[in-house]
Amino acid sequence: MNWQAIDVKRYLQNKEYIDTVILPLVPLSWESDMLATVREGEFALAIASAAERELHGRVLLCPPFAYLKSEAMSERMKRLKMWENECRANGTKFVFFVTSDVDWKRVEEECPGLIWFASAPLEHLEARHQKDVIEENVEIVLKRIRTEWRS
Amino acid sequence: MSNKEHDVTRRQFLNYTLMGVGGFMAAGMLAPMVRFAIDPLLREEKGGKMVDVMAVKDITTEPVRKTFSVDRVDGWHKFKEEKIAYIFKDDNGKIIALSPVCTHLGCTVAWNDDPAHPNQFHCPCHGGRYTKTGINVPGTPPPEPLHVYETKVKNGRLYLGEEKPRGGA
Ligand code: FES
Repeated sequence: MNWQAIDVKRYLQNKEYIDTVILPLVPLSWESDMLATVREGEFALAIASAAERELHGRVLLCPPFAYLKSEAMSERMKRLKMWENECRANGTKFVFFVTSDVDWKRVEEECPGLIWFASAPLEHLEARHQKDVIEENVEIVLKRIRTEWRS
Repeated sequence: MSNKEHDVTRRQFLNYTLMGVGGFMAAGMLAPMVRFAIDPLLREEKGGKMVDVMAVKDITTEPVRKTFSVDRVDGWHKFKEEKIAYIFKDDNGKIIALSPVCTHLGCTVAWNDDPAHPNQFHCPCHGGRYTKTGINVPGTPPPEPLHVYETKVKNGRLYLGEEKPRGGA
């Protein structure tokens, strides 16, 4: 389900079936790394949206958790935990954070729902290739989610 | 004709869906004119056009996953929607194209990926299952069979249109 009224109506009627939240982590920066930063966020959003399509009936794709690259990791973590707690307090059993920002890899241990994948410069890839790259990475996300569901 | 259209990439699809595109507005004005130029055989009931998906000679009795894209309008917003079909011939040789959208809450089902239940469609979300012809297995969550695409064969190619529910479980 997407964060849109039409889907959320269904969500509210079927809450017991929709026990999973996907939260894309999207960085912002205007420094020299701006382009790379944009790519990372764009890629994470693309993958998250493709995963939502496959798992529409059990997953709620939330608007991205956005943060400044200059924001200290401890601050980000604090805010992210608040988001996560809010999801859980409202009946969500599984919360997944999808990101291409390598910053989060360093805190993987404290962030069990983290799914990281390397971003690709989609704008340089040929059409067919783009599709393959996206599919490959969506597969990573789907595998991970299905495994957690089974355990 | 429009054979090139299903080459639209996921990326373009995302661009259209996520951002909306001004250029498409112009296309919107042209579309009604173009519509009349479409072969009547390939016109759907609602006037949309059917999409060339594969060669008929490549269709076997084993369901195969094919993706294609169609133009959609949502209010003022025009975009490409990517669709999936599982295509095969049934025991009578009739071509069937099933939509893999689970009739429970809309996850994408897959063919024959659950070793515990071979030769069925299986939903990753709440264990919904369907027989090969798309009939929901009683005792699993889906309330009705998988929807089927309108099909048409022309010059050895299979064209798909709108997906439709079919009554009865
Ligand atoms: S969405 Fe398929 S079983 Fe619930």
